[in-house]
Amino acid sequence: MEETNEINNHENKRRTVKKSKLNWKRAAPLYLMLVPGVIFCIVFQYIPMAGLIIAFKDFKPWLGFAESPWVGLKHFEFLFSYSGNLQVIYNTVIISVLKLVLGLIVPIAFALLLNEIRKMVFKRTIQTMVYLPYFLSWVILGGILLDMLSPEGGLVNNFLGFFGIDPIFFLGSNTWFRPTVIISDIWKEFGFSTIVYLATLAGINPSLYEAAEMDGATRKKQTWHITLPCMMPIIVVMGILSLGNILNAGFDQIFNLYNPLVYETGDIIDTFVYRVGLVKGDFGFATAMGMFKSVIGFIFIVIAYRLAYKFADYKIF
Amino acid sequence: MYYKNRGYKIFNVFNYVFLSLLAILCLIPLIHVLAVSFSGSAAAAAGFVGLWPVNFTIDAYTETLGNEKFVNSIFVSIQRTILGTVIPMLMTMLIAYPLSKSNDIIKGRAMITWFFVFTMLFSGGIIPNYILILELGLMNSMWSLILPHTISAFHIVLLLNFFRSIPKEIEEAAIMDGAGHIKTLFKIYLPLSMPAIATLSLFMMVFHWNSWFDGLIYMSSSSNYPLATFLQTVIVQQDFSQLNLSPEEMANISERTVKSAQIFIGALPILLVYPFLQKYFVKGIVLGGVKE
Amino acid sequence: MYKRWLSNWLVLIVLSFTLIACSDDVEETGKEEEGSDKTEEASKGFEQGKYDPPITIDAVSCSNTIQYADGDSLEDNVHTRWAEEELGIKINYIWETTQEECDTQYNLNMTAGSELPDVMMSFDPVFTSQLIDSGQMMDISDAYEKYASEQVKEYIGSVDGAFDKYTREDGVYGIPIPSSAMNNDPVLWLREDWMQELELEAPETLDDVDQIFDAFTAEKADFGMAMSYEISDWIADTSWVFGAYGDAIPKQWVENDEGELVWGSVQPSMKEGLAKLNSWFEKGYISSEFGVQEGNDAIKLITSGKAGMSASPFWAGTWPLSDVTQLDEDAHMKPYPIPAGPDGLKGRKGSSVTQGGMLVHKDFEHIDALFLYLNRLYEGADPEAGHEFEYGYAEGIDYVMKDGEVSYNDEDFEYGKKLLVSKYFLTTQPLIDPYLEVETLAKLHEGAEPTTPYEKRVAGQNDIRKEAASVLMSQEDISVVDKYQGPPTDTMETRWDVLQQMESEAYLAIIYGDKDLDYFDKFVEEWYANGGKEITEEVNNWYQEVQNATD
Repeated sequence: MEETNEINNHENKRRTVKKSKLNWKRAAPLYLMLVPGVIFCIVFQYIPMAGLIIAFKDFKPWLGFAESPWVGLKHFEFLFSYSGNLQVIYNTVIISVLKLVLGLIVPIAFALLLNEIRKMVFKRTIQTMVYLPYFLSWVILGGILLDMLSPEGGLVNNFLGFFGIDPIFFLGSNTWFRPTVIISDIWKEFGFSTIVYLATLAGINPSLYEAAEMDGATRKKQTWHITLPCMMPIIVVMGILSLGNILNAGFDQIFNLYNPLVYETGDIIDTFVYRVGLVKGDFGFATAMGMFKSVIGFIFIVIAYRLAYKFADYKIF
Repeated sequence: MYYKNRGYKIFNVFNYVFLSLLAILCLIPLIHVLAVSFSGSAAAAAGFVGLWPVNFTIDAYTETLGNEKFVNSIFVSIQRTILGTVIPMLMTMLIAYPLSKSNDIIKGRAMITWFFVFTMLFSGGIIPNYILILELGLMNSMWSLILPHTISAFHIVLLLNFFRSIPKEIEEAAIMDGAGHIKTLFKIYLPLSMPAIATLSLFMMVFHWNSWFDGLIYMSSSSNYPLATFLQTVIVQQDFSQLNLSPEEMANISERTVKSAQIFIGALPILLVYPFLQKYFVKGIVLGGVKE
Repeated sequence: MYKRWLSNWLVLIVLSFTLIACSDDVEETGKEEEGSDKTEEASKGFEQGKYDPPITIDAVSCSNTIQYADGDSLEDNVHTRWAEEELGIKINYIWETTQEECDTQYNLNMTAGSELPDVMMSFDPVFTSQLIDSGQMMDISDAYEKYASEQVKEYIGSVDGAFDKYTREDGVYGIPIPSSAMNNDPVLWLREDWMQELELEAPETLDDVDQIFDAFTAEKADFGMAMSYEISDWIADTSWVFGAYGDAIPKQWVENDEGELVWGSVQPSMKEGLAKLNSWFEKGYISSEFGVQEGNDAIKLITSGKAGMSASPFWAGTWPLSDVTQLDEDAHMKPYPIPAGPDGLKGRKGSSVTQGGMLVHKDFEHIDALFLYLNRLYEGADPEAGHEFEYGYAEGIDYVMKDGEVSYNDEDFEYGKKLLVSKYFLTTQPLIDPYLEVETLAKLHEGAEPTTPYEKRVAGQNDIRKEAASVLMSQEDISVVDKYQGPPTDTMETRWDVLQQMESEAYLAIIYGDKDLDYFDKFVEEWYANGGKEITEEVNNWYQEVQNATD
């Protein structure tokens, strides 16, 4: 475990440089720097959190927060009993987990491949091009995909036709809907997500490579022993933080792509709740649902944080 | 050198081809939008436009750019994006710097970080935020779009990790020279973290450029809408069956060519920013230079 | 290097502060206090037809697709100026948002304790009942009796159950604003150039339709017809296929022989309609993609020449079906009546005339002024010669005078096109006699001479629209309108979506042939077992109540 060692060394070094004369005077400015941030955070994040109580109320806008009657856990019970339809939860988890995993791997792989390009102009051009789809909303892309993936004369099926493959009804088939959703999501996002990794690559000290070169390490070895370990902290951070979205499978995308033919495999918690019409005007229920998703996401982050510390001895913060 | 190696050369050729194909795949939707925006409206509505305009015309652009509100909203957006990047960036640096220190230097570091991370997941929702903005008297003001997004735990955690990868020795050298924390942050950390700062700035810019919902609820008049909000109000698919519209109105709403032109003009400024920031993550920063 | 960066930052910061300074001057939109709110003076204003000093009506705008002439805006346009100068009524918009987020914005304002506007338009039954439940709305029944003009009462009265949505035990909480009748009732649109070339006759029955599809697909097109997965839709509709086999229409509440309401989609006659659609699908008359296409996508099959028939509203000839002509000069569409089923039955979905309505805040002091406003504008629905609205609401905006003649041609307008002044109204929709337009169009098509100003105005519309209106009106009695106008019932709130989903899946599966026809019976059984029974009861309770209240 090369990267673990690397991180270990780093941490150890830090501990050994421990200063003897660490005093309040030295730390005080550091705390002061945090003050504005903490104040902003309290005002704009923590104070509004008081509004979460409506997850336990039958919220009526004209009654307001205080006057709306309490209903205890009714909304939560409802959420579980109603979506007793386990399929919806299963769809949500499977789609979001695959998106998380691929959404982590693809940009890293792409960044590594791009890193091998030495023609600056080419590198920059590619980078700009892959970052474009991120800027088109799903409303627009939904229309484009519907055309491109059409089994009757769509671009993709025409292409597959060259290889003698029968037209595939990507958006109307329960076999193909999930792969289509996941791949199109990765396609839209990977260029943008790559930027973080490119920034990391840019920060790697070139002298490390020079040294390896001297030792006669192949490029593959350099990537394996220098590049990846240097990227590991950021990869771990990105991975752990993305776990907060474990129950967000992408409402905008699915809402714009799905149809009654694929409810079975494509319906997720958010689209389901939207269709039920519960969220519309029912702030209490919407808050309860959001809270449920947040709690699950938070639990995952805490566990991952612990695991990273225990097994890799790395604290992401 | 490794790149003289034969195996590597073969890999390199494949790599070029593969990346080119991937890039072309990503270019298709934008080219399509562009082609539609330059096409005749009937051809666009019938779905005949692929990657090349049919019945070429620039009507859609003249109509879009002639719209006062559209042009005005671009200025609102520029203003919002600049403020919404500069202020949060400063704030993020101020927070990430102390939190990147070790536990020995700053006690309760993990606790404080969790304090921020918690907000990444939990939020009160739109109603309390709306009331807060109202109580603070920020309704209809640019600040209602910026201040609530000043703190982002995601950005803080990313930046603190970048700060951590800066070798200790550099900071210590600075302290030996008698530099304070603020000076160390801005004179040493900042230039060394340019790739990270460019990345986060880009995230913030894109976020502010694309956010539309807050503009809609906090601005009572459409003349104050930022671009994304304005576009949302004109582009978003209407549920035709719910509206009692005359055919003329329907035809107007569904003008695909105008919408495409608006999408393109709307995305253009932020697309143009990217190449300027790019140099910070294409080239590596030479760490050694500062050390000496 | 970092020095340069620091200075860049500084510039940015200085720049940003300048920008802030500029951004602070945002208009305040407070509620204006008006001096005279004594009722005496107010009703004097009503009698005189003008308020002096002017009064203010606070409103909001949830319509984001409005076009204005150069220099005009939501707050200041040809209509708001007219209202202030002619009636002494100032229209003050306290906020604006989109159609979609309208109720969110209302809810935010209510929660925050902000003032609601004086008048509110609602097009959504859920939102309407929310507003009424808030206890903030005014019972308008007395004011309606007292102030509404005879004309207004005649128009609104011509619509069955117009007040149903707003009627509660203790009063009536909204003024229905009827829209054009039969606006979305479908007629059959066929590719007339193909019909002639292939020497096909107008379809009288579904069997004739079969033959037309057969000829189209053999000679001309990929498919026979364009349809959307919604089955009953505003465009590319298929409700008429079901109407050929029974009185029920899918996706709406219909009255059965016992006078009770039942859900159309689960009636036995649906089975035959499904069998027909399935046979069309098997024969390739329907695109295999219809299951993912909404009306708007499906209709592209027509405009791109891939299919030759769609059941769409009478106005569809103007848009979007006319696009087909732009792409192929010889192509044109012609409206035909709805064909009959094997037993001679005909039926189609009917569109609701009473979607929109206006609710009034209970503290609003000038309800008389609101009626003055509505009465006056309603005069434009069918004006007499010489009336200020003889040609339209505003010269230069929705009509122009050219060489002493009125013109509605886009090229004669200064702005480049005719604009809809009615969009600037508090109602955001024209105030009309719901049946007048289709009736007039049909009459003109059949050769009547235009005499009234309204008829003369309508006479300028294109022939295809008149022809289609005439076809539509020739079958006026086959349209079946949704009978349920109430808010979602208790069981609907929890079960409706599951039932809707079940229905969509069952219908699509049967049409696609994934399930055989007998699956329909199983679906109906499950539909009733999963809450359909309770919902049907609740809907009938509402129906009884409303009927008792109106009697």
